[in-house]
Amino acid sequence: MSLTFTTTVPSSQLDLSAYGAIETGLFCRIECAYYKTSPSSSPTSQTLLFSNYNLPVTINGDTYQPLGQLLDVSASNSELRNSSSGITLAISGIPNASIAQVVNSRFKGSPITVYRIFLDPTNRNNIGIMGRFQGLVNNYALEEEYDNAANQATNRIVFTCSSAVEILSNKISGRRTNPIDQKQLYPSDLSMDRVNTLASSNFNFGAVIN
Amino acid sequence: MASFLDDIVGFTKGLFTGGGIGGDLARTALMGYALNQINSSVTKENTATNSTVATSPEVDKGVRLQVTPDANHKIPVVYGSAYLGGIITDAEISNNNTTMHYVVTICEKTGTKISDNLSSSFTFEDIYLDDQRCVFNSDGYTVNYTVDRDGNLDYSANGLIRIYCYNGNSSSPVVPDNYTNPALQPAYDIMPSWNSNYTMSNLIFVIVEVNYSKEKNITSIPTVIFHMNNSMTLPGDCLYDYMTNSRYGAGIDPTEIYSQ
Repeated sequence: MSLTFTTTVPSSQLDLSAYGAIETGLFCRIECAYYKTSPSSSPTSQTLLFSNYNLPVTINGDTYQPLGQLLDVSASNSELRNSSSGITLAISGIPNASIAQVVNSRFKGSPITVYRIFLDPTNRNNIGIMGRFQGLVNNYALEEEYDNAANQATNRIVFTCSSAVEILSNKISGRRTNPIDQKQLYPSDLSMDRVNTLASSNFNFGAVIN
Repeated sequence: MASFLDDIVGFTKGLFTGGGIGGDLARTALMGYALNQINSSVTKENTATNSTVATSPEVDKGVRLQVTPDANHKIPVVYGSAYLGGIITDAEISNNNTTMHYVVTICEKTGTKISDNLSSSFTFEDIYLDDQRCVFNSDGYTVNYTVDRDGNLDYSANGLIRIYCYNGNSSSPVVPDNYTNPALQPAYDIMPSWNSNYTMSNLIFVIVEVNYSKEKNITSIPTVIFHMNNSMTLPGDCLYDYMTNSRYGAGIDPTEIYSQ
């Protein structure tokens, strides 16, 4: 069984007062520009779609894989203004055979969008969709989970995501008047080379030399 | 008719000529006065001799100057119009200690405007020396005179201070607004020890030349303020430039910004 919706994020708040019960699911979209399935394969652009719902859901033509409890999304703050707070997103149960895809791909900097979808549990109809988080993958970590009894290992990948507001605030501090900063930008430019020595220098301006 | 005045004269006459104690005292005092007069005349002659020596030219010890560069100074970014002082990043003095050249780095050169796809350009509106506006000779860099806030003219810097302006790098000399001079020199021809490797890439800066004159009171590095004007003034241009510039801004990839 799978669900198929065509929906857009509404500009106003959802009115849920008419529903006695609701179901929700978090739907994640990571757009990875450099995705490799093996070390020798050519990189491609890949959009990863997954959710913590228990059924595959197709939204606007994109099918989100149901990871259920294997997907853990950290809490996020609901604030009136754009916030710089980030989230972490953990996917458990990754088999060893799939690790190569994670290791050889470049997730850092990939745009990530997380939506929350509200469903009617009685008929699984879509009630509405709300945006929850929008930002970039700042970093990721791999954690191994070894099962002694079954003598097998599974892996867990944790994406640390920064909001777009935080990325914007990461401005470069600017060029300073010293040779290190100057040469970092223009390696052959000698203009700032004497700044440090000048700080401890004196000039006898106008002194007559005998 | 004798008066009390005659008595006084008579008493005084007796003092100098008499043989009593009063006469001795008077003679001693008179001798002391005479010696004092002789000493005074000798001292006056000595003073006159000394004053003749003092009028010979004294050796000028000059003024001990320390420039104040700062390795942690962040070069500012100017959009629109602004008054700013800049920071000294190099200085040199001539072999005879009478001419100083120093480089004042003012601000970063900004990028291209998305509104008209033209490069932003800087103009030097006015330059102030010690809070007095400079008026230059026709060459656009030699100070003719300065004007204070009350409109008083001061010619003390006339011909002694030169300010060479550069727009973006050492090879882009310019003159302040309302001046023209097609024969300007690159910065490495002005700073004595510079060569073409001193490029000052993407910087707005000036070289100030100060010639020492004790008579004109040009004995130190003046405080220089620049009124800068950047042609990039529209908010969208400025925001886009700051967001995308990897030298002083956020360094965001332009493809990630929807602009029109």
